[in-house]
Amino acid sequence: MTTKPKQEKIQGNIRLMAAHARSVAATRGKTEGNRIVIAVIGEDRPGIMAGVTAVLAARSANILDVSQTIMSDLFTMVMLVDIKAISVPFAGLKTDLEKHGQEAGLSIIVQHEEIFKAMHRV
Amino acid sequence: MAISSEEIYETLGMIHAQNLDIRTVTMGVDLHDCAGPDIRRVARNAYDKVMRMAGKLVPTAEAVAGEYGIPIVNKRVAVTPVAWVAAACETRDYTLIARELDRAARELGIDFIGGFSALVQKDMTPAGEALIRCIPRALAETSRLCASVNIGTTKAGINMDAVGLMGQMIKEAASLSADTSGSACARLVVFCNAVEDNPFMAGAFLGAGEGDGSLSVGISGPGTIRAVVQAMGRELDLQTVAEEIKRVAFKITRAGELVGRKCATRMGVAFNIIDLSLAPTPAPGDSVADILEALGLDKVGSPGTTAALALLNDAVKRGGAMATSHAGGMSGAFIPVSEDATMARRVAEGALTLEKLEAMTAVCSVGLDMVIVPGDTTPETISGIIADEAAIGMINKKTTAVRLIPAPGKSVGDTIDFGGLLGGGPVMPVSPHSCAVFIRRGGRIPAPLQGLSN
Repeated sequence: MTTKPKQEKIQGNIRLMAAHARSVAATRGKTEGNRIVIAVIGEDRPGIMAGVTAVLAARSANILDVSQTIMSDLFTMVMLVDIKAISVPFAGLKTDLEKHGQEAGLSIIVQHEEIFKAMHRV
Repeated sequence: MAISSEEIYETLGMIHAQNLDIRTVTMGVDLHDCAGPDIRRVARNAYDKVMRMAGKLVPTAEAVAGEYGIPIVNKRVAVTPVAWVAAACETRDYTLIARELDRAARELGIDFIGGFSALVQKDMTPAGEALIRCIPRALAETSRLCASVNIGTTKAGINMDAVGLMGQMIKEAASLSADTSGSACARLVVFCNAVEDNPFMAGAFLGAGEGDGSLSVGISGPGTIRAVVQAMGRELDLQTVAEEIKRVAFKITRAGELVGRKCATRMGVAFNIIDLSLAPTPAPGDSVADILEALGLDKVGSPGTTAALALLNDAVKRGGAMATSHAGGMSGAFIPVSEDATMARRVAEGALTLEKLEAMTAVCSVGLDMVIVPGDTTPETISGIIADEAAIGMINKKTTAVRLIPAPGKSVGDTIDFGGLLGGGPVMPVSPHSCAVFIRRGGRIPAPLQGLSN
């Protein structure tokens, strides 16, 4: 049978959680600018993700998260990508991705993550 | 916490389907230190300083727009009112300064430069009057220069001598640009309670209490708000609708603030203010009138229009004020007729009249804006319209403005197209009854009791 933890222990943990939140908030400014969001929209077919990830891998961009779905018959993918160590300037990566999109018949939109954070987080 | 896919979709929709953009980044450049007795020297100093301070404005704005994936439509510069800068000059012809500022704007690749301005709300200095008299030629000889004159405040009252003079100057500016239907008047605005940190044209200038250089942002986003209101259907009550507008305004403002701060940091100048205005463009769907109609009006101009606009204006401010600590400028919905395709159409259909527009300006920013009137409208009638708008601003402690275009040779029934962001629209009928005697009295309308706020 499990017993409820002591009230002091719960209070202690809440304090730890608050301290953790403060330390995360303090580092928020330092990691900004390193992450971008890539949205890919197009006719669904095999190899879309492989094509986009190849462009990223060749420029040392690191994929952190991918979410993909079919929306109104269209392939829709959103990627969160770390560009801290990329081998080309950001503008070059963006142009390369957009060019790949044109060649592959996809709409590729590249934006810094900060704009989403600014708009959707208080 | 990570950003969800839905939030990413929402932002993409706002930017790529609903015309969300940053309407303008406007760099303020102080020109007080350019003054002197020799006009050639003053004009050169002003040109040099604008080029030096704003040299990186266009590339910086373009780079930031690219990184965040949000368009910045206009890049602009606002300078110290030229009437102050030129006051010590031996000549009273200030058009050389106008031409040099215009040249700087052209060479920088910016869209407009504002500040060929005078503040004469109580009385005119010789330089203030000289500048006003130079405005028609200054506008005719330039293409990106904007002029503005403040003729009243809640604290000072209304300078009716200046109001009378402005009626004549607007007519003269129209006749000097008759080949383009008086388009020079689109770069001339007459204010009551002018704001000194306004990033929007034609009324932008950099006031006396501002720094040497700073950057302000004007947001946009009527299309985004219309989409939200439309999606809510026709049944929900107005509190719920206002709440939703507030939430979108918050997001739009945060995007503007981020872009503004990044541009300012990269240019090494202070971030000044973000102007929470809903600024329409002639593009389909980018219309303030569309929002009012989505709220439930058949046609803008119907009864209920002023109330709907008041609701919209306040909800935008509430959301925006939460999103930034530095709201400033005009901060209110704009209702420029020619720049808002639906507004222009309702005028053409007879649904929206000059008198209703005037009532609307009592509850929003900024005034009778981009209104085309018949070419034979007398200077006194134009002055009368200016005085009416100024009275609304003076009594309600708000900014009001008049940007009228008396299109030479045109009359009611004609339609004029200025092109670009200025759009176009029909010539609006003006009351034929004269106020000439009232205007010719001159003098000053005393400051109202509202001004005694201490």
